Amino acid sequence: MEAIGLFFLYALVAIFLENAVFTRMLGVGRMVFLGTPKRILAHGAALTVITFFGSMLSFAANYLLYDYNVAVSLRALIYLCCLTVVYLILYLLCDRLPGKIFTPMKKLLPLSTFNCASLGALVLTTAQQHSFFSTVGFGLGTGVGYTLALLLIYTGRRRLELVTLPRAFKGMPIHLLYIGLVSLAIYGLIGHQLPT
Amino acid sequence: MYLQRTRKHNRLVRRFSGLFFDNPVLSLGLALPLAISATNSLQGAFCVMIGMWATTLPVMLFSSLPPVRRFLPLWARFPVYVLLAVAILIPVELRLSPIYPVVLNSLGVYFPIIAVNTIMLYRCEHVGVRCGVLHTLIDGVLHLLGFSVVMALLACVRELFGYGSVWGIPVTGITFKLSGLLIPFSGCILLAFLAAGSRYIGRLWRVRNYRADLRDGQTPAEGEDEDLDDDLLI
Amino acid sequence: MILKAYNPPHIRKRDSNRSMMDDVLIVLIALYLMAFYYYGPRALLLGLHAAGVSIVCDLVCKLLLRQKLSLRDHSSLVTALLLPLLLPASVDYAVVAVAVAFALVVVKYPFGGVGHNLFNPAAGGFAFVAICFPKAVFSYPVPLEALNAFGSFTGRLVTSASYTLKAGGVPTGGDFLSMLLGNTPGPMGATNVLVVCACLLYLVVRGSVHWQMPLCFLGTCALWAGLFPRAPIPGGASVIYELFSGCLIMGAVFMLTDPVTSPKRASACVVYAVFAGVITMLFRRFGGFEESFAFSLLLCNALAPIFDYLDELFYRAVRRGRFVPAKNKKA
Repeated sequence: MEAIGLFFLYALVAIFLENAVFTRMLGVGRMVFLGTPKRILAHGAALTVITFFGSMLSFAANYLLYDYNVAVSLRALIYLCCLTVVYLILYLLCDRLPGKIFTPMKKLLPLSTFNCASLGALVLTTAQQHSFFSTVGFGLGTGVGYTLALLLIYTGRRRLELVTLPRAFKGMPIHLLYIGLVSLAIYGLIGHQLPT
Repeated sequence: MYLQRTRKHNRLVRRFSGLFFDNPVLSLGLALPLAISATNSLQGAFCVMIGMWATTLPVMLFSSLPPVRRFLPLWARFPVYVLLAVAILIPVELRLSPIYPVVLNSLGVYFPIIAVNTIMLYRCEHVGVRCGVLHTLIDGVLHLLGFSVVMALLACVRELFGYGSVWGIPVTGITFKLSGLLIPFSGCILLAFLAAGSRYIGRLWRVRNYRADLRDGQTPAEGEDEDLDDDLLI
Repeated sequence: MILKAYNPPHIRKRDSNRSMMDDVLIVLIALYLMAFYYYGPRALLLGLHAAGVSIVCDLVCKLLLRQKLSLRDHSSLVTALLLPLLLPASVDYAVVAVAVAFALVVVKYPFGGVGHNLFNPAAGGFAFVAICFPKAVFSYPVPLEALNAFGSFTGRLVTSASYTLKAGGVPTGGDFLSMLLGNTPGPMGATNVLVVCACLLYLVVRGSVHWQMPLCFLGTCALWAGLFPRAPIPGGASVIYELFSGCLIMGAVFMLTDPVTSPKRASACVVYAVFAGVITMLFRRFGGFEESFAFSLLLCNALAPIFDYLDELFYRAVRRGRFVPAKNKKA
């Protein structure tokens, strides 16, 4: 019971307090500036599934590596191998399963897997030596938090369409400014207590 | 020739695209996490730059090799690039960690992120798969130079006004320090202003060229219509 | 029908943008007079300095954006005069300049200028300065002690009631009457609760603000403070301490009710105010800073379009439910 509580606690922490996009700027990329809600949800769902299962595999890998003091990049190599395994399984599933939902997902899958947010989530959780449930909760929360962040930016973009922006700021700069100001707001919540 | 300055400018843009004109960070929006969060200090930015140059160029060259272009299937491209990048990153980190241990520790999660950076992934798909080795090399070098310039600029500004030092050496003139500049949100805001500023200056330059051309008052000569599209293509 | 091309944010009002801003300016000047009574001429000089910086930033930004320069637009002046009232009277002139410059150049003009900003500029300026100079922004002078008018402050600095509450202790700054009249250390304009409430009444009577928003916001905060007190004190005392410490009431009157950044319909405003109250109290409990209204307001401003959208969906559903199609006339 306590494990499930820890799972949800770390998921909530990853969604609100240590959001991948707003706190650590990990997910900021071209995906953020374009997209309709459907595409955002598809991309976010893929990312969530991948970080969820990837964090399980990476916890297992980290457990086996516990005794050795390895460099961060070597750890990243192992986590990327875990992510590749999950990616291949998902790709096979999308190939085999019928339907209109899964075939377009094949195009989104590479970019959703090899994303700063997913690799960042795996490196961050396992660096702090948590238990299994908290690791998996953090991974799930990162994906959900990323999706919610993208939806929030989409809302902001819809509101900004009603406004005459200065020509230099249309497109990417104003999105970055928006992300920066929401990040400023969330920084007031966590203060100076953020581990890298 | 009709619109001579504009044509010259466009040729310059196409040749040097990636350095100032289609800057990967400012215009294309690639490798933003690194440019925003790893520019706290100039030393950190330098480590990230070394990592980027070490990983992105070889992977881009690899992706433009004819056997890879022909035989590597679509679904396997990204994993191969990323695994190759991270394999190159390991010796780079082992080489850097005795020299800059504190910096690498403070970079934390942002150093392994170099392996999945979007400059490498996007340029491999846009240029590496379609063009030859030489063209990919030039493209990669220009884009990485553009990225490095932006990183260095941001890191200098943030470290100077945040810590009051450059490369760890305190600068005596700076008494007023804004410690808020060291936090990722201000990197985002500074990058937004830099992007807007570069767009503004680029537009000023293009408009100046165009207005000077129109002031010359020439008309297109006979049979010059075929050239028009090529050179004026931006 | 006469169509007049006015700038937002007053599209549905009979009077113009200028008279709305003028109401708020009159009320802010009243607060400055109270601050002058407690903190001396430094309060007024900080206000003038902020106004000067705002005029310069306005000029520069409007020239760069090629907008029309007009002396009748007082919205930047309102932001600039509001900012020193949120800061202690002992703050440096440079800090105020940084706050005003950030508020105008980063939060207001890139998003389109007057009437188009997505975030409240005063909240953004205060948030930035609170992160950059936490010691300067969160240590307050004692009221009715002499303050030097120019240069840096050289007197005694104390912590306010919000710091004590955040640490989980019971504030001992003063009794109820002194907290009401502003005789406690705190932000320059936010301590005299009586005057701020009078300002709220004036603005509501003049029609510049939706009256539902401050009421629901303060009601939610009071309920939360009564149910979950931060210090070992009874519910009623906790409500009074929470509401009177920090910029809660002042923020509710001036920053939350900003017509540009809040939802448009009254019903959406009510839900928004309740949500903002919950978020503010959560930030107060779990946040990293002792006064975090500005941060929570920035977050609520980002979420405000969602409230508009949901409100519109709700009204459409209600209208669809009430709609009775006309009966067909068949022979």
